[in-house]
Amino acid sequence: MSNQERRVFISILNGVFILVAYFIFVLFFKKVDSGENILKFYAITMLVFIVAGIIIQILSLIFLSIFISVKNAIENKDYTNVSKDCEIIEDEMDKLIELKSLGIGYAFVGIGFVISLITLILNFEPYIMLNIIFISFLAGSIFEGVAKLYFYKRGIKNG
Amino acid sequence: MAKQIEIKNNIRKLRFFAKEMSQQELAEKAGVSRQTIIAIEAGKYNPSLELAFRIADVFGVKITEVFEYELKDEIK
Repeated sequence: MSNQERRVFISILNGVFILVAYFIFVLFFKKVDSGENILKFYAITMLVFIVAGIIIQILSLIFLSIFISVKNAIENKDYTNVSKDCEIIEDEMDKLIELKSLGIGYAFVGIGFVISLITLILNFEPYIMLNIIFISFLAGSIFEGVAKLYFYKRGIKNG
Repeated sequence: MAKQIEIKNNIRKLRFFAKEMSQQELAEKAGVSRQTIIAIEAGKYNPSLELAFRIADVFGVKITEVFEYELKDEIK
């Protein structure tokens, strides 16, 4: 597994972790069931989980870089280029894969948004719409990562 | 009707003749990651024209000596 694939894999794990943690929190720790406060509850919960997700992502990428550089230094017995090993080069293939998988991620978000609008038309509670949008964003980022891994394994052609 | 083009490369052969140049070394000289060189060599990725010229420049040969094409069945 290359360093780029490791980075994508870590991002997928983070996305799944945030999604599962969100479901557990909402299912077991929700204190309000209806009324005006329920939208506020979901808004605060989602904001907290977004910030937590960003922090976890940054920390895990820092730990991954340290792990890669230490592993390379031990394998090569060369401790002079440790900072250079931390760098993950992003070239034209990475950018093409990023572009194609971003499209897949956006498709999930788009589908989620349409479904959330349908729930409003069908007179569901507004918090359900909010949840569908949030979950579609998370699912979009997870499937974007899965698509990236797929393109790295299978290869990618221009055009 | 346009014909489908299959691009092949001789990077493995050129690396061998360049004193068994490693993929990492070629990647560093061409300014890309080793993974991209692996993908190009395996035919999983067709590089941009710019990168193709850079790879040819590393070996000091013409681009046609690195990459070859073959016309395949027609695209419908």
